[in-house]
Amino acid sequence: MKSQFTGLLMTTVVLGLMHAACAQGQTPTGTEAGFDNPRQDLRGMWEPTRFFVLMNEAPMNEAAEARIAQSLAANEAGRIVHTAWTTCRPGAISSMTMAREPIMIMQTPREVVLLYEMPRMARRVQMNAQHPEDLEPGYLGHSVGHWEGDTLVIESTGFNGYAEMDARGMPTSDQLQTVERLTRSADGEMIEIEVTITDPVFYSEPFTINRSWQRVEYRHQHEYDCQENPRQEDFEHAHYVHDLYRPTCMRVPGQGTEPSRMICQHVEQQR
Amino acid sequence: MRPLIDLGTDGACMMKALFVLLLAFGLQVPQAVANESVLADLQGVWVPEPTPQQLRTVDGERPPLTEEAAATYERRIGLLNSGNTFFDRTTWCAGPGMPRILQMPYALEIIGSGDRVAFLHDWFRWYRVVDMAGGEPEFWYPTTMGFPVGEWDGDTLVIRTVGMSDVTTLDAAGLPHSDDMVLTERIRLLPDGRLENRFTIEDPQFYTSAWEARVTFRRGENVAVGDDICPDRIARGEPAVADWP
Repeated sequence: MKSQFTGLLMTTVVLGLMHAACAQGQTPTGTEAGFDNPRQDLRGMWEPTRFFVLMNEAPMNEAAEARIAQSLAANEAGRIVHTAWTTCRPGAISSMTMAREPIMIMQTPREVVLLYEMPRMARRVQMNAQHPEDLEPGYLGHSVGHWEGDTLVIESTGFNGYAEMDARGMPTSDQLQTVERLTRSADGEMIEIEVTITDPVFYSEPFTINRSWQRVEYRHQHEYDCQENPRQEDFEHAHYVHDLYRPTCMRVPGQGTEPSRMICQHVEQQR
Repeated sequence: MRPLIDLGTDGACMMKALFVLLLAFGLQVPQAVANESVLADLQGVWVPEPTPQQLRTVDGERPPLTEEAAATYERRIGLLNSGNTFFDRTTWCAGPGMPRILQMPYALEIIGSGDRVAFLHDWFRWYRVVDMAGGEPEFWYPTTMGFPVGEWDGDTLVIRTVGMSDVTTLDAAGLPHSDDMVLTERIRLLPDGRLENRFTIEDPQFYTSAWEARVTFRRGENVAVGDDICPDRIARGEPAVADWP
């Protein structure tokens, strides 16, 4: 009886000491992250319920309408419109407006990581953090998040202007800012998403779109191995909404029995 | 206050404490508890240690290629030496696949969450997500990264993958494989703190027997896995795949 008591006492003391030691500057990792509120647990695979090809609700200004008119004119002339999405660039904004394939969400107390199949990208949301002051503009921008009750609020800025919101090439600028509000439904089966988009360069006022993702039990995502690999003749029948999107690598047919070749070159050499 | 025991930073501290406590009392450590602790150590950014252009087995030998596969490999090595990397799809930013992506001079980050472990690679935004439910991997169709399934063997993360397309090569010199290759990775921390991925290739169409190779990583200090855009690098006049530093 005495030894049992001593053992219990020792265990209590050691655990207490360890807890105190662990409390010093330690934060839990994702794998041991507790989710006291199941609606704050977004881990797992989610699939958009609908694919939005066009964004009709955006209040375009003249500059945006001019860009769209160029795309439509090229399209009517038989040319394929190429955007960041179709030329192997990621774009956080296109994942908000026209996500299509399943999304894998990894979640730790410090970070929410959204893994998108197409365009292939890992969007990383730092929880309870600030945007850095010396933000380098990029395709994904910089995202910080916090919880407002059951809603994950993601604020993003620091975009590079090379991302389109729909298949026509609805433009964005480096002034783009977004606020996403993700709320898991009470039954856990859906994530309802509200995205507010602000970009004064191309849109007369902020506007809000709604999307929803449903929980799926797929074992894996599919793979999107985007590769710049157009044939030479394809290149002649394309409209690139930005020069940056012009291919750097092209498949050139071989002469006679020679196999075709891949030629990659600096953009300036193509002009 | 200095920790009672140096339990490392970042996470799993109480798990480790429990682990130590259980050991002290001579109790068996539940596998789930050990996994949490080990996974916490595996997480983070890892920088690969340089690998040779031609992958070697753990014994330093050339992998046991069949005669036909050896001829393919020799032909590609010849092309590479003449500056023609057409056999290597990374040349035009296409996916390097597994396990080639482990042999490129780009960092990777390991993240655990729920029943998945993700590997985020710093080359052109590639990632793979391992289903830790275990069991047999499923061949959906040929892809570059395949369909990985993981489980724990003590302190070792064991990942089995099938469904890797023969369009990729196993090394930068064009080491070939078939769609039916089975890849088994054994990932663990070495006593010196580095990460080891010791992997076995089983592919009877191209190799006369199963063979093992290994790659190692050191922990990335002030290194982040970023948002690399391969075609943008080519547009700037940089190579699709950088040389080892």
